[in-house]
Amino acid sequence: MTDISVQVVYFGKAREAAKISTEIRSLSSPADVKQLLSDVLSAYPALAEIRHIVQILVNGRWASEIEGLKDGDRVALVPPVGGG
Amino acid sequence: MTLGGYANRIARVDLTQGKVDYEKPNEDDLKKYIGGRGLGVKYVLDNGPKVEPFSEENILCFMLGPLVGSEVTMSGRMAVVTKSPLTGTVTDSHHGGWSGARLRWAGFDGVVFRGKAKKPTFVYIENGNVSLRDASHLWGKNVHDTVKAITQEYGKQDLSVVTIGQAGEKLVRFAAIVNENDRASGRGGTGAVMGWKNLKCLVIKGSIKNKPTPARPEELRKAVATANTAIVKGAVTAPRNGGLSVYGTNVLMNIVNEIGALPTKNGQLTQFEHADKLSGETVKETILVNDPTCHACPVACKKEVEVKDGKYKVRMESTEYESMWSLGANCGCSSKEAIAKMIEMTNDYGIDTIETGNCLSVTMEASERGLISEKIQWGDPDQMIDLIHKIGRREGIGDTLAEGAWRAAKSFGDQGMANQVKGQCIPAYDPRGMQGMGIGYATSNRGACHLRGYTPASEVLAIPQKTDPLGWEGKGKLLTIFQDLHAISDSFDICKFSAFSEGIGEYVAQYVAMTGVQIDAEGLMKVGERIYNAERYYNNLCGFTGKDDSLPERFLKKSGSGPAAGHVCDLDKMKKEYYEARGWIEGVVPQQKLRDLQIIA
Repeated sequence: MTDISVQVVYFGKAREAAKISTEIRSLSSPADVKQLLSDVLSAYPALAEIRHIVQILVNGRWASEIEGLKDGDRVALVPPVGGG
Repeated sequence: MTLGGYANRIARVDLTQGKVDYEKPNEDDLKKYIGGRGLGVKYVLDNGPKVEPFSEENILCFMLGPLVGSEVTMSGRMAVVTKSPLTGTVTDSHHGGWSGARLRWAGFDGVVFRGKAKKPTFVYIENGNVSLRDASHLWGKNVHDTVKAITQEYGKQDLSVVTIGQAGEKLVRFAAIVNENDRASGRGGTGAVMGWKNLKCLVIKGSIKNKPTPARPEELRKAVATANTAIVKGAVTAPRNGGLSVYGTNVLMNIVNEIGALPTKNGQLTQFEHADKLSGETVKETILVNDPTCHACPVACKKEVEVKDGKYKVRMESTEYESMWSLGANCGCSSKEAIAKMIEMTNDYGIDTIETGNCLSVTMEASERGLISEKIQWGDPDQMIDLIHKIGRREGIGDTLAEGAWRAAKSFGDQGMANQVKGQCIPAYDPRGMQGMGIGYATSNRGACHLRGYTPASEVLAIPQKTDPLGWEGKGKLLTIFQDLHAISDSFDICKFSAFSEGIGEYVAQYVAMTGVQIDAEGLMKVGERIYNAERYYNNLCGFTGKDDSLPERFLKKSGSGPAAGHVCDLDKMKKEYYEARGWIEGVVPQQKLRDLQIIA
């Protein structure tokens, strides 16, 4: 197993809950979104409150939890937002 | 039958003759077109297509829907409807605040202006009466000074001022009409029509004691409670908790950028490396000072900011997504402080921030390509501020830009530089990164617009269901549903953001209880379809066809960047699907469809 590094960005209320806007996280490969979220929720327990409404973007594309991650990927946590 | 909610009074003001007549709105028209946008479109259609925007024959309609000024949540909007001097199409532009509610409380469903006053004029509206007054002492003032002068004379209690600034007086083709100092009917140049008519402002005095009378009060109370619950519990709209409430519309900046749909440097790119510096999150952490709201709205999505010192010192509202984008990523500018200052300027001059930003980005691209002699750097805030002054005053190059980005680009030597549809420039979504917005812009009846059919609700927010922003299939049909739904909310006239938490069921319940009209969801959607088709019919009569449902070449041929790399907008495929869903023939509404929708006999 090798480690991979992914960039995690937090938007909206996810940023408020994690109190961080972006970071690099290491995961053991093979890794998927679900693993990353588990790590992130451990690090920032306040995110648990909004976990059920947060959507995930991987490299700018909507992704499910089973989506695999590779070294250098960028993962965004996106709570519900609206605007015009 | 007298419908509930309405004041049953429209003022018809002939500015040439200097007289005011009053009429009861036709009940059949109210049932078929509701009010607000719909009724205004009906009036513009009846007025005939062969009028020039800058003419005595063009009408300028300030219209309310039957829910405005009531206890219905988010019911504080007013529609301004006219023939646009920017596009030559019918246009409707809406603003929030309190002027809509106060106009209803003053006893009106609408005020329609025709003609041209011999000298600067304003109207004072109170207790069912519209009087014309001399505005010579106001002419030449920008918005804030006009509001100051009026409130010094008439007081602030129960008063709204709906005004143009210098830009409207000077016929800047995208001049706005501004109320409450900072809330604008921005798009389409309605302020220029007002300025051409020598009409400076509407001063509206109306007390909440005169709220409209519903047809079924108890039923309305329950319907409002249900709708309000949806709003306060909604993940997007929950007061002080939902994303829209906490961060304002500018919460979209990072997300739209992340998916590669943020038009950057006049659409040369679709991602901006400094998007986070302009975002709602960053604004909240740094310069946000208050969350103003509108009549009957708990969401409070407005964001008032303060730059405490330095050359961009300002306290203003609001750092909306569209304004932060148009003067930000679109121009390559990353200073939120400078942009706050610029938004304040556009509010004060009374100009559409979206079109203003596009004018600036066209100028920057023209300079970059050596098409003009002026050296205007991408993202230089001081040059941008100077250009905004010049636009508002029609000075120097500002006189060219005041004609709109499309006409300016043409005079610079390449009209393809302007990211426009039917003469109006795009807002903050790039169709290469968000396909639904491509068909939305192209088929909008008022020129490029995201609000006619807000497909980002589906492509970004998964409302009502999630769709892939880079996929084209199904977007044409999806768009027709959004367009018809928004035509309804624009005609009620309640805030479109209610649709993030309410659905057609809540809309029907409140409309039926307020007016007493018997209608179900399908019937109400039919009304929305009628309104959308009536606008299209008017535009067809003005000479617009499917060939005008187009997009700038760069969206069709040049790849996006970031996640949209390799993607262009698949407009033709979506247009085919859209026209089939609409029943149109190459962008033209067939006669039988007009009869089926009861637009013509």
